[in-house]
Amino acid sequence: MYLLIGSDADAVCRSVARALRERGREPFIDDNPTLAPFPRSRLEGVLVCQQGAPVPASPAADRQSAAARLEARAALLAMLWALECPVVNRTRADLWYRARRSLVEWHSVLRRHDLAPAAGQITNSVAAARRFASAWHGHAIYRPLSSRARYPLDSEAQWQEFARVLMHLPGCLIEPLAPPRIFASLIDATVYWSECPSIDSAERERVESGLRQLGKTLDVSVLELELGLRPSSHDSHPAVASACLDLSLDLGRYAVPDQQMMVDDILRLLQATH
Amino acid sequence: MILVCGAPEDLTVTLVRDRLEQTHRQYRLIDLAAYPYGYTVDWVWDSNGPVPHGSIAGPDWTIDIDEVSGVYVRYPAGNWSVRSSAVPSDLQDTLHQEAHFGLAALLEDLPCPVANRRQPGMANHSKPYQELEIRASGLQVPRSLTTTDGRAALEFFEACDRAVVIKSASGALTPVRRVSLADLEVLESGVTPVYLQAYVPGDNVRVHTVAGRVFATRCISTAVDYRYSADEGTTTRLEPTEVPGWVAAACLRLGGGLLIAGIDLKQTPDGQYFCFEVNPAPVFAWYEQYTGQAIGLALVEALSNAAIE
Repeated sequence: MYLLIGSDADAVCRSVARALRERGREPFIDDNPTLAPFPRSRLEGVLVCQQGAPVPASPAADRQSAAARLEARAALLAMLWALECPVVNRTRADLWYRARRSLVEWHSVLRRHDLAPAAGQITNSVAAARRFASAWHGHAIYRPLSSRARYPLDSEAQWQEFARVLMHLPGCLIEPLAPPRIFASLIDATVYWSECPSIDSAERERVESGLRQLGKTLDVSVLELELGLRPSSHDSHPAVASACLDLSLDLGRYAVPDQQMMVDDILRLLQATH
Repeated sequence: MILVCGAPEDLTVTLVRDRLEQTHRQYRLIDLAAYPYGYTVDWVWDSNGPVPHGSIAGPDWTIDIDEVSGVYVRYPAGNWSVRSSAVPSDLQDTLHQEAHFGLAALLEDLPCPVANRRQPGMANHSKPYQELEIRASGLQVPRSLTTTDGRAALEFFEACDRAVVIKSASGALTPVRRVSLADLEVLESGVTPVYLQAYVPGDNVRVHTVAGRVFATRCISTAVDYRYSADEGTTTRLEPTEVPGWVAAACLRLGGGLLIAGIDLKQTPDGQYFCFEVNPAPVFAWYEQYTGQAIGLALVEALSNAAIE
C-alpha cells in the first residue's frame, strides 16, 4: 500500500494514485492518516503532498477541536520519521510546521543558494513602504505573511488602503517582478520548467544548480520555485528573481509530457529500495 | 544593544532584564503584550547584504538593526498581540500571525546571538518526533505509544504494568498525568491520537544548557508532574545537583542549536537517566529563584558574546 498525504483536489496526489493503480499498486489518499490506523508493515511508500498545514475539513476533522488537530499533526510528523519505507518529501519539524513561508522567511536561504530572491520589506511605516517602492517607480506587491494573497500596490487608492492596514499591523512588501510567472520544480535531481521565455542559459543553469543544492540543504526531494523577470542593465536578457518557494508543486503548470515524467520521477522515489 | 522581546510581567523576561541591569548592559524592550502598537518597524531584505537592514523604534528610542548585538525573545502564550477594538474580531488572529511571523522572520536572520531562534526549537511541537532526536543524542527515553487505537492503548497499558502517563503529543502546555484503565476504556478510537509513556519513577532533573554551560536542578516531588504539584496537593523542592559527564554532554548535544534550552530528565532510584523533552523557551527564572543558580547571568553573558555564534 502507498500512502499519499494530501487530498483528491491535489493533482500530484491524483496523478500518482492513478499511476500506482495502473501498475497494480494500492494507493490511499488521506489528509490526516493518523485518524485511519492501518498496519505500518503494509506501507510500501509514502508521498507527502501536504506538510503540517491545517488539516482540511472532513467528517472526522469537524469533530476535532483545533487542539486535537495539533495533536494529530504532531503524531503524523513522528510517524513519518519512524517509517522504514521510502517517504517522499518528509520534512524536519521546522519545515513541517511552517512549510508555506513568505519570501522574506526564505530570503537568506535563497540567497545562499544563488537563487536571487526578490527584495522584501516588513514595515508599519507608510513612509518607509513608499521609500521601498520608489525603487520600482512606486509599485510593490503587498503579500501578507499569513496567507498566499497578493495585492498589487499600483494606484493611489491601493496605497491608501494599504496605509489603513499599517495602522494595525506591519505589512510585508515584495519587489514587483515582471510577468510571466515562471515555475521551476525540483524532483529528486531533475528540474522541470513551466515555460522558458528568453532566459539566458547561464541563468537557467544557475537556477537549476541552486535548486538542487537547496533540495539537499532542506533535505527534501520535491520543491517548486516561482520566478519572475527583473530588468537587467547588463545585457538584453532579463535576469530571473525568486518570488516564492513551495514544498509542493502544482502539476497543472507544466506541459503535459513533462507532467508524465514528473509523476514517473515521484513513482521512482516512492518505489526506491533502501 | 540587546533586544528583549516579551511581556514585561513575565517572570523570566523580568529576570533577564534584572540581570542585564545588574551587569550594566544596555537593552531595549519590545513589549510583546503591546506590539506592534507603539512600535515602528522597517526591515528590508535585499541584495545589499546577507542580512536584513533597517530599524526598530519604540516609545522613546530608535535603533538600527545592525546595532542589535543579542536578542532574548519569549513569546507570550496564545495570541499575544494586543487586542485592538479597531480590528474586527475575525481579523484578530491575522493580526497576531502577521506580527508574530514578521518578528520571527527578522530574528531568524539576525547575525547576533538570539535566544532562541524558532527553527532549532520546532521539534518541541511534536513530542514523539522529539523523542527520536533525544534517542539519537544517546539519552534513554521511556517506552511510548502514539495511537488512535483504543485497543492498542490498552495493550500498552498492560505491557507497562499499568504504570503509564498521558501527555500532549504537541506543544500544548498540559499537565502530565497517570492514566487509569477507566481512562483508556473510554478512548474513542480513530478520533485524536493520544501519546502515552511508561511511567518512570524517581526524581525529576531539569538541565538548563546555556551556550555550552550546564545547570542541573533536582526537583523533588511526589507529584506526577512537579510543575503542577500544588494541583495535586503536594509540594516541590528544587535544589542544585550534578549530572554525570555523559549526561551533561548529551544535553549539550541536544540543546546545541539553542542558546538556552531546558531539558527534562528523570533519574530513577537505580541511577538511570531518562529524557523527556527539550524546551526551547524554558521558564528558567523559577529554577533560579529557588536555587540561586546563575542561569540568567550566563544567558546575558551569552547574549553579549558575539563570538558564540
